[in-house]
Amino acid sequence: MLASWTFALGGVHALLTMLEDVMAGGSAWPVWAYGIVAALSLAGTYLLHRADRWAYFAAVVAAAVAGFAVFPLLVGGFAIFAVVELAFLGLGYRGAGTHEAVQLASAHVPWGVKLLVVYAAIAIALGRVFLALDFDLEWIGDNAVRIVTRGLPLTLWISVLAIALAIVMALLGALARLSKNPVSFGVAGFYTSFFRGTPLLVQIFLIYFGVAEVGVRMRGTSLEGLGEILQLGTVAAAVLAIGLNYGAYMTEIFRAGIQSVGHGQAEAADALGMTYGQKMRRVVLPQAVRVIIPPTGNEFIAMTKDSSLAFTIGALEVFRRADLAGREDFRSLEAFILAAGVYWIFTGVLTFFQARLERKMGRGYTRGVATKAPAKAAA
Amino acid sequence: MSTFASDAVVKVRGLSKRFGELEVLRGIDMDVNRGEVVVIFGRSGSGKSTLLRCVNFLEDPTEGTIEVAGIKLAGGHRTKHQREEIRKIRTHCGMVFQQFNLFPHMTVIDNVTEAPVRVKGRQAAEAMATGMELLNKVGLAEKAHEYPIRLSGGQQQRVAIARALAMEPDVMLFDEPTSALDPELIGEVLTVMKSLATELHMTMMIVTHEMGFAREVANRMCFFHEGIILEEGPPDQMFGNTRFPETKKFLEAVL
Repeated sequence: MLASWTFALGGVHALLTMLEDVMAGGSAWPVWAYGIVAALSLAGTYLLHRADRWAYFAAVVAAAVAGFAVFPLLVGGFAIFAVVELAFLGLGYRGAGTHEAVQLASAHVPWGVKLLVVYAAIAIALGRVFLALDFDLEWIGDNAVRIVTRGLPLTLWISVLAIALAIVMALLGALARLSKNPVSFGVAGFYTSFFRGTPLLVQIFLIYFGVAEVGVRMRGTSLEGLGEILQLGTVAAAVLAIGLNYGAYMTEIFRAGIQSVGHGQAEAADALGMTYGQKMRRVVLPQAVRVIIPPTGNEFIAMTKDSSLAFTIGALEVFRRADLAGREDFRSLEAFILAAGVYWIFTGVLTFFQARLERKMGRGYTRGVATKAPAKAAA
Repeated sequence: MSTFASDAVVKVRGLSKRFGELEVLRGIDMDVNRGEVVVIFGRSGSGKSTLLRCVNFLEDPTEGTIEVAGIKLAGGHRTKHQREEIRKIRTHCGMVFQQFNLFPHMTVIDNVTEAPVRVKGRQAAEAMATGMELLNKVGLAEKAHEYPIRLSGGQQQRVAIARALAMEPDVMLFDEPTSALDPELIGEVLTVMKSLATELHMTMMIVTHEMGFAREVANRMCFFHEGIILEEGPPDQMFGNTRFPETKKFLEAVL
């Protein structure tokens, strides 16, 4: 595997170098040369998987020679590999040079180390693309702070208010969908059907422009006061639309979570004389939450990203600010990459906390961990 | 019918239960006196569990009435008042399930103190003291701060018994308490149940297939057959000279 990865990396390296050359204004002639190296790398990868010892070694050497002939700098990967292999063979190490031997050696490298290498390779490759495309890093540096400090609070604010609304709606919706009361069941059914059945963007426009239009028509009537309230601000409209939309989806998550709690649990609570509220709050929901949290975390992450749709009604959140700044200076590519980066980092932070919360909720479900007794019980 | 009707904790009158077409109980009359241990046995599907579940209204009776600790209710449509009465009846009944049904997200002691604190409004410290006493009684005081998953089935069922006892019930309902247990764990649960009878003189209705235990502990045994009590009497009668061939056949099959 290691051997084939060396070749594959060589191929990627060749392509990236080509990109760098072309972007730097280099002539087009080396393109075919890079192509050959990349092709050789792929051929090498194939050969490695079936080679016996000498065919394999020939492949390594051939690729190294060919690569060197075309472009000396490209062969770094192959050359190092060939040298290591030759050294092993020279030392008379039996089995060196076979695919199997490499696999055996690879088994000694911890998985985490390999993963780190992969991440490092991805980071280097991306970094090279960045440099080759000649990004205006200075522009990104100059504008990042401004866009983040002014835009992120609004993005956050919309997301947090919307998720709060969504959780309330989802809980009510789920309890209603599980109840035998025809009114609550029917109303909740209509709610989820409408908000899941229409696009979020349409809902944002309906709530921002549509509701305001209703307010306008109330002017001059006895409902004029209400009409004024219906002229929603951008943030209020965005929160309402996104919160109601996600609440409808999360209703199903909450319902499934509540239903995942065994029937025996509700019966045990009933048998102890608990009221419906006590049964739900103390027994059913705490257990449902464990099931609900992972998908809810996903919804929150998705919602944070969808809060960028609020830009369509003029909310100055991260995406809108990045877009404006980019247009101003003709740096749209940098601006969008910056915006993407902000969302990415932020959702990464959310994912981290979600994982911690999940672990905390897992108490009582894993046998392996002994529970720490509170101090007062120690005696 | 029972001769000591005046002191009955549980009075069942004309109880029928249908699940759609299926008639599970067909007119049950039964009194359970204070301190009496009644073992209910019979073939699977004969209505034993359904009777127990009707006593604390986990199942809604189709016909007839149930009276527990002086609260008398019939089945049918529930008003808010009736729902409250059902809840009151349940606080007088301790129920132990075949599948234990401990709350997995609470420690053992929290399982035991939850209902006394929330439902009966006991002080936390007081409930804690009583709870530890009960856990001690079922031999699990040192597991008080473990979560149920770390306990064996037998230990979980003993916790479930302590949890039910913590409500100071007038009657304990055992719904096949040992059926889900590995054979070597059955003894510890039966020992605890026996001590409830001998030491606390607890009123108990027990659905079980443990005939040795029944013979030792029961004051009265009821043989359920196709939704009615076909035969009832003291263990001596059941094991000595049964009156019905069905009872005899069943006992021969399980003994």
